[in-house]
Amino acid sequence: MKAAEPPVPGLRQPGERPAPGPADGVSVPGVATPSSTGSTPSPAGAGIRGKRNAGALLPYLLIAPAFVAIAAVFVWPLIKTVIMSFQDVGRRELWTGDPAPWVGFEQFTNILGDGEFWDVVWRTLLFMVACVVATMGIGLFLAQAMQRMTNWVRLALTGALVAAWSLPLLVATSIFRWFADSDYGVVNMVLTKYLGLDFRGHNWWLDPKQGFLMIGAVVVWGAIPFVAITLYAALTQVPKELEEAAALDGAGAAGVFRYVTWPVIKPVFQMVATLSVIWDFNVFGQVFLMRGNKPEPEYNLLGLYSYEKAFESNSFSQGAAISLITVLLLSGVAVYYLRQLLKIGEVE
Amino acid sequence: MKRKLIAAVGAATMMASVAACGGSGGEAAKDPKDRKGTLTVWLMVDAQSTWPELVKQANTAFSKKYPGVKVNVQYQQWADKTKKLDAALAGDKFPDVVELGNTETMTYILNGALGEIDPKKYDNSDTWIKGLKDTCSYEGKLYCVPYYAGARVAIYNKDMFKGATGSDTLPTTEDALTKALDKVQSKYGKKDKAFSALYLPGRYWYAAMSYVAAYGGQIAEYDESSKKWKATLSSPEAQEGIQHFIDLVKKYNHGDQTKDEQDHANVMANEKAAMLYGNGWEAGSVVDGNANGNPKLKDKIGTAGMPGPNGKALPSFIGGSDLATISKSENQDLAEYWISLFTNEKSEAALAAKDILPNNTKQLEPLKSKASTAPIANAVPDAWFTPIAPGWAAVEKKETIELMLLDILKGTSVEDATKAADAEIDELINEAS
Amino acid sequence: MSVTAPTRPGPTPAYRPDRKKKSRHVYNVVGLVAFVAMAFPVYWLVVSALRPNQEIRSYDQKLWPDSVTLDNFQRAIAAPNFGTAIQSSLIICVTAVAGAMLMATIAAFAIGRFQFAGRKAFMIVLLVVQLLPPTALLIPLYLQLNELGGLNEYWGVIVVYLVSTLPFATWMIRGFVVNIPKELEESAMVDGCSRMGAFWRVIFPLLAPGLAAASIFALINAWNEYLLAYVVLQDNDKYTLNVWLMNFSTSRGTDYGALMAASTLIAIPVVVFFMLVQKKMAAGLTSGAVKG
Repeated sequence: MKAAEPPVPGLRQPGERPAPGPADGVSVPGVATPSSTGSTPSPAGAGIRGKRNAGALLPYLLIAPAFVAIAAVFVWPLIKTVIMSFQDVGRRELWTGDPAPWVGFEQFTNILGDGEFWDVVWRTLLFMVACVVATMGIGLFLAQAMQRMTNWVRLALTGALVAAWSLPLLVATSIFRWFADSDYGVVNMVLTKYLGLDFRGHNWWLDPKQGFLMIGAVVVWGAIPFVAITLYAALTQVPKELEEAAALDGAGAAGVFRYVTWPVIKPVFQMVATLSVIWDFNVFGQVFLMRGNKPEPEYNLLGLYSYEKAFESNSFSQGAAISLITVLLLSGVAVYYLRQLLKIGEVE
Repeated sequence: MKRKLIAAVGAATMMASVAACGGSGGEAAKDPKDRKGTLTVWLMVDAQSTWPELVKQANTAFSKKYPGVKVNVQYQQWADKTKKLDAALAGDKFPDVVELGNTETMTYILNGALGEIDPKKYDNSDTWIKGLKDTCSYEGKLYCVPYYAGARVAIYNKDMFKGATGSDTLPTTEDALTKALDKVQSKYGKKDKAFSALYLPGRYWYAAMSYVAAYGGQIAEYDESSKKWKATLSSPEAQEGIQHFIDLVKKYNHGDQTKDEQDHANVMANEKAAMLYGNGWEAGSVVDGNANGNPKLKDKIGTAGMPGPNGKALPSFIGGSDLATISKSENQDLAEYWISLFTNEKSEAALAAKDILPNNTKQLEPLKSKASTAPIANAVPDAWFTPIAPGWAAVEKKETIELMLLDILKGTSVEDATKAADAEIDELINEAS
Repeated sequence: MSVTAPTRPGPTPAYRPDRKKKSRHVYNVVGLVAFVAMAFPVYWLVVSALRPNQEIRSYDQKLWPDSVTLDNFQRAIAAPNFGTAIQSSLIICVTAVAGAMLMATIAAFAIGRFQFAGRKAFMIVLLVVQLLPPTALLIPLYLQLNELGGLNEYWGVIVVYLVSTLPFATWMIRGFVVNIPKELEESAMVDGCSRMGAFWRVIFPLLAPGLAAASIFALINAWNEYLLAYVVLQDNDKYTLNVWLMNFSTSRGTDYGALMAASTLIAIPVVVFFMLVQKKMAAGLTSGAVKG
């Protein structure tokens, strides 16, 4: 059976409207459906023609506020970042307005030639992949489970997800830091007291693998609500009938998921996954706060590394260069995301 | 070379700021009653939570002379203050007066951010505590005003010492102290594996460097001939001190040895330690229910001078805060006047009354005979301080010394670890940051 | 959206109901385990807020508090500038969220309904804004606000929050715009409404779920932001709640009890808002994207 076409019609929110015909999003203002009212033809035509000219401008007017706001706030800082990365700006230049010397590609060659930088990049990639896989895996699993659990269980779980989502990073991280503490941490207490393992005084930070397990826990815990709730909503759009029919046709659980469920939730899944990649790649606060505001070098991730170069080594230019490199590294993902974005733009 | 350049640029900005002063000199010449505007003061949040009345006092006195000038005190937070200041100095909304930790001042002096001050305008400036004054001096000029100081002492649980040794006074020599600690450990540590007779966290580098100082070592030396700083942690004296510190950590700390000193008060409040080496005021935190302390221990916590190796007291790190004016500010005269009020003899006396060390030795003297302050006050004269070097702030931010201690605890030999640390420090310490 | 219809008694060939029942138990167990894992840190926040300070980091941790006290809440409320911080947070968040929703909606209308040159470029701009590491942008952003005169002003912070949520909001609302049947809009137009009029009267109400979904993102984003607010806002009475929270840390340590109590209080408005729009949001999040 071919169930790959997303069974779109279940767009519940605008309500019971049957949405006739393919939703051909491209609206051509001139060809208003003559159907309904039999209004006087000629003046209306003139009116619409007049509107067509205005219509050419209208989209620009509509994006203008957003565009202006983005440009006013972000465009110049962005350009400034690029300029700074080709200069050597330290505190003195920043404060006195003294012209900063131009150094060409020196910042970039310095960074790219620094062994530590590449260690940081690999570590960041690894951490990001692990976090994204865990977040998306658990999120998807929970979303599917939520469909199948008793109502009150689902309500309780949704409540917990919501509450977790609303905690400020600072607070959530402090709490996880206590959990992981060697002397008074709840993790060690539970492992020792309830599971009979000897974890008394165990320090989770000495070995960065264990340390990143703890940091990953905060990151994943903090991201699951968004992923689970979103995917749950996506799953509710999968038509029950199709699933049941597929099951009757002898498709196993995996088959049903592969041919019925996945095609429906795919766009949402991709979107959420891409955002997770971006967020987890730029993780900063969780590491910084978990390590008591002074992370050891083996806990350096890209976000921290660029921060450290900018503020602690007094080279705002290096910080700028690193963030531009980060953007380039992310642009692989970005291109994918963009294609999704544009493709969707085309489809209508 | 770079140093010279920095000095030259520093001089240039000084000129500029003098010129700016000249501009407002016209203003300054006016009757103070006619001065208008706002004086923005950045103080750390401690002033708001612990001595707000001092701020009020200074503001009241200030507006008597300058009724038209509004003083806007903005309290800053420890976590990201320097980031905020770095940003503010790049823009137009910078403060006129700023409080800086005494290890932070050098970065700002070297980059021309702070205005020169005239010590004659301040009470007791001839007896300012050296450890603080040094952090304000650069090439013979002064760029900030000492505000308050802090020194480290032994903080101990009198009941526990009495229970184990029969005496609730702390021994005055290290030999006697270790004997007492052994008794305390065997009495209270038997049942409780996490109990530490002396809670000395392994990454507590201020303590480790105190032992270095005790053996006559130091972190780095200034070489007059090459005009350069050179790290000396791998010198025999320094290595000896570090080894001594590590031995104490390994013997007496039965908690997690790889922490820094952040948990001090909590450990003692939970009666998991009989003794700490900490800032004088931490004795208060141990019993303060609003600061993770345990009010039940009130009256049971004592302070005393910390005995060090070779029969002498352990030299303490001298911490503290300074107040500075911003060189770009057009209100430098007002800023200096406000600082002089805020650090005058009366204000410093009020701080001393809260068992905080005043900025000068004259007012320190009486504290030496007051029971609650004698240990901290006595720790001041032979205190040590971090190198007044252009790149020291970068060394601290890199946590070179903390990480060195951590490596030693993990098994690296003291010799290898100190050599590696020296190499890292040498790379950073001469570059202005 | 309505909760999935519970077991439909209809004609469905009752295929192995036993197994279904059993699997439901399994999923309930999964749900409860997940509930505990997600809720435990939140529970710990509340428990810590209710504990006397010295017990919070006790060496003898218990999973439930021995003694309960409201002292921490009293200290939190009595801390200076609590009231002004609430006011600042409300002003900033309400304006930023409302502004972002308004701008995003009309921008979404443009890219969802029109083909025009520059449309792709605009979408690329939306994307790039999200890619930059926020900490690295701090200084350039600060300098930009300095140029614009937005330092120490609410609007300086508002504008940055607004812009940083615009891309996601635009993206999400666009999904709803394209799903609204064209005929509806056109019939309204023929009735004499202008295009914009049609939009406001007919379509806007249909976007509600999308707006709800986008606004919760914008709200959490703005409500929980700390660094930019701290650096840009200078007067203490302009500090937002998250900045105010940091006042519980002094050089003499952190008053964790008060910090946790204050955090509990601060989280409440977000949870309430979330509860209000949560149902609409679950609907909103996808019908936009699934369409793709």
